[in-house]
Amino acid sequence: MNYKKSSKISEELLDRIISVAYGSASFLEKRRIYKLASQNNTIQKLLEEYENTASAVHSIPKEEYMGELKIQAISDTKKSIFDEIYQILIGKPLVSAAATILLIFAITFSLFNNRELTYEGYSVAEIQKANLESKQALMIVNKIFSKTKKHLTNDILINEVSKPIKEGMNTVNKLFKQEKKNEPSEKKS
Amino acid sequence: MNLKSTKYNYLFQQYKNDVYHYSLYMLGNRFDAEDAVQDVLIKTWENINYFNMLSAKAWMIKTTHNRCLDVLRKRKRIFSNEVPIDENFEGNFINPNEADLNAIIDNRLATEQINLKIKILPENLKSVFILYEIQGFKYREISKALDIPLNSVKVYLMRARKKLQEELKSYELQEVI
Repeated sequence: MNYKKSSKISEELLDRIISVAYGSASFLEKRRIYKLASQNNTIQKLLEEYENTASAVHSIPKEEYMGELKIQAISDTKKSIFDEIYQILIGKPLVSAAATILLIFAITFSLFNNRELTYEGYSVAEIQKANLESKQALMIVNKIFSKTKKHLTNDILINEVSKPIKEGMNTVNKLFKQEKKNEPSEKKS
Repeated sequence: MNLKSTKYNYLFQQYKNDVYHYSLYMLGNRFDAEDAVQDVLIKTWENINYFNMLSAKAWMIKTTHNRCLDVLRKRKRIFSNEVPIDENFEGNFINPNEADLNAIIDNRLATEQINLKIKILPENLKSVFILYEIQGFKYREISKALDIPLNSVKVYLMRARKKLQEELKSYELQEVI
């Protein structure tokens, strides 16, 4: 259709102009109509008229209802937590959906993370190695114990315990013997 | 608090302004609009367990629409030549100290004219126009609320836009004459 030259505007074009003016047309449609309007004064004028009306219509403020609830039983009741949860679930479905997805993701992530740490059993080689190492450790402990026993019986018990006891006993014996020698002389006197 | 009142409180907070604004345009005065809102709220309370909460908005607008049509039918029978009262008289008062008084007055008059012309649009065109252009409803929501096919919504909207423009043009011509 050649709209550039024709001064009469078809019904289809008028609909498109109105859609553009009221902002319900696509971007491409807008571009096409603006291009046509720049080339045709009638279209330009029509577009401006509709745009003015549309902006006036869209600027009409939305009136608020200031009335109270007529049902007394409801107006008396206070808002509960249940109320708030309900409002979030129904009033903000995107937020609740996002929270649910996040929760599911967190649970799945933690489950996968734990799976990596689970016990999956040892190999035969590892068991053999561990067996060998524990045997070696026990052998070392055994060696230390036998060495300690030897040192205790040969050195410590003989030199540090038996010897001083023997010496002590000898001294006590000596003292008894001297006492026995002195006893008859005392009786005589 | 039980589930019924929780649902009701939510619907009241969410849609009371939509119901009121729609009634105001359909009926043309605050008293009737407030009565319509109260009626719709009572009906909502009575039927709250029978409709789906996800389509509650459409249900409430549909009920409001039907209520408005009833009032308009009754009004037609009683008053054939009703002259609307300008309720925004006080709101129209402009402080003389304000700069660019003429522009403000022109703007107010234009808005007032548009409001008036919207109110005199045929009922089917007016309801679609108000819901789409002023209340910001989507085509599908309007189709559900008014129980008309989606294509009819689009057609009615286009007709309403054209009719409004024609009415405004005839007003401008009268002003010139």
